[in-house]
Amino acid sequence: MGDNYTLEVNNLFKHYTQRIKGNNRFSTVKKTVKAVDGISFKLEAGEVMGVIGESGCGKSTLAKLLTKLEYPTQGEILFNGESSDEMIKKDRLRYKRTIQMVFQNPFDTFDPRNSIEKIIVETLKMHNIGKTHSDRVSTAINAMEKIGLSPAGDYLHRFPHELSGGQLQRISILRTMLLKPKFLIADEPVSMLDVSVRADIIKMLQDLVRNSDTALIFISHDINTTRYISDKIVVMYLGRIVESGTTDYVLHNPVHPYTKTLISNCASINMDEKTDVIKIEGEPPTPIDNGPGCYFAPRCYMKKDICFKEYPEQKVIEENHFASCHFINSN
Amino acid sequence: MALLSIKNENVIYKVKNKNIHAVNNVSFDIEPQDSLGIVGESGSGKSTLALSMLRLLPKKIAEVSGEVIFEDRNLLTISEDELRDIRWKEISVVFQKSMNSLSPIHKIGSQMSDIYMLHNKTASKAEVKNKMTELLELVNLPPRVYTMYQHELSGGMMQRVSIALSLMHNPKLIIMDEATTALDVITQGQILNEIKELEKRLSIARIMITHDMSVVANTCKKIAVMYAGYLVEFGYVDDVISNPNHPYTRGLLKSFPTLKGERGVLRGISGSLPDLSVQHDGCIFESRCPERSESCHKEKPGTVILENGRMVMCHSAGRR
Repeated sequence: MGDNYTLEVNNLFKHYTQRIKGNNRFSTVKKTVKAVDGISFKLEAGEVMGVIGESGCGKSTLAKLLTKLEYPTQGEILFNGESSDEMIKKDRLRYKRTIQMVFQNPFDTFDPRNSIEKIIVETLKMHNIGKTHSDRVSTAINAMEKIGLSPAGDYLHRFPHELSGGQLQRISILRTMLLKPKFLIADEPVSMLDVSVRADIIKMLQDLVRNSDTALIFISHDINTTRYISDKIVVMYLGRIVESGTTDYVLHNPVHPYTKTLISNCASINMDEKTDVIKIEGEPPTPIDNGPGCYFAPRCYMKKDICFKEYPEQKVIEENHFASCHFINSN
Repeated sequence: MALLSIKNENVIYKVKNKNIHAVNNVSFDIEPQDSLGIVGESGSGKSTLALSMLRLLPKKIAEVSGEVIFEDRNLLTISEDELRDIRWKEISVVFQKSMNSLSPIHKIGSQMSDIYMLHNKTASKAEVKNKMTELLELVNLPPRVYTMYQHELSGGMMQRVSIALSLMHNPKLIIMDEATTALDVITQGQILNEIKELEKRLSIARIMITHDMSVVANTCKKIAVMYAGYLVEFGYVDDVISNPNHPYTRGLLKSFPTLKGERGVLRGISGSLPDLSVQHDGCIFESRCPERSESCHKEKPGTVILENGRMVMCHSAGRR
């Protein structure tokens, strides 16, 4: 494993089949829900990628596909050119050590009957890290002291319900980082937490990722927070990437109407700047039978006839800045 | 005259030989058609304050003292029957988890009509149905929602149903307890805009409980910052956000990431809430305050009243 450890995702699809009541009383019609619909991206070691979008746009399905909690319908995930399917067949644990995930709700992440000690040590034992029990405990204590849970001895014998959300989320992140993963996926890691704690968790994630050269995929619908942590950003809508690029490029010069809408709806505490909020109607529809045209067309404020006829191709706007919309003049 | 005025309210929870002081000496006024945002960390007593106003806390555990005057009536002392008339008709509440408060086995329409019939027993069926469709329209929901079940709606739609329910009897005051926290950016934006417009149209006063400063900054006129049961800062949103006077308010504002400007280091407030079951001699925020001094440890700061109705509870308030 060199420094250039990369994750490559090629044309990833995940379709779910759903049975819907048909015309006849007893007949059912099969419909396909396209949760992830052709996603490709590349991530290098040490990079932080933010994924934003409304709820129901396939962000979490993407995370599940990457960690192999769900299997893709089509497409491949390559780690350094090695297919993830091969990897998981050969050595399940090595795959799990390569890519780890932090979940949204820290209270649901842990077994309520296990003490913090057991939670951490069990994981280490499963992955054959450390030789003896006391070895593993000391690893856990060291790591906990480093992230500000001190004295760590106090926490070891507590149970998850005895800790606050912020502390639990720290332990959740710590547990994944002890395995030294090459990739970490954080699925809305701060949305359940208090404002005053959020900043600390973000900072901790940032430090850990920087120190160990881990690539991070940060999934969130909070654009402000995502901006602080990520180097590049991907905007998803109904299973497709509509715009991607370097964080500040995308957020300061958004070109896709969906990105513009998201950003304009983003609340700010700065009283001086009053931006015009772009209003769009409704919520993202369930991705069943989305037409031949642009998926965003029905809600778009710029829609024209062409939008309903064909899906726009991805265009290059600047270096490392892509978007799919008919009304972009590519350079 | 103030629509609602709270005077020296205290709430004490009595649990297992411990007395937890959840709300301490809080006083403020709300004018008609005002909008007030209450912000603070979880556990700072925001929800307790709101629930105690309507006597929704369990009587055996919670001890409420002080005065809550709503249109010349003290809500804490009037009889249960009188209070029942005020609840929902004049003061209504929207909670965070609206999906939990709707019944999964009744259609939205029949649930809503039930509540309406409870307060207007003589209403005819057609009249109720008309009223319900009107309400749904008010919050931008299609009329087909009337015959749908709770599980067929998305989070945003359910929250709208909750808001429609709370507006049913044209209340004078509406309390929104983290009503938009669970929604995503666009839906939150849509709902907040709708609320603002409804307020103008129906002239309602609103109390908004949230931990999201940006929601308050965009939708409220006044702000109350609470910490560990104390009201540490109160004033107009513009004043407080552009010039926060209490170190806790400053900390909260600093931990909020912004979209524009420098991507500096985000700073949280270190430490956590103090144990509320023990008496604190000094300032309640002292242990976490970056600007603490000798006097903070010894003496409780009084509430300093500054210009423009601004109140700050800090020793160093108004000195700079």
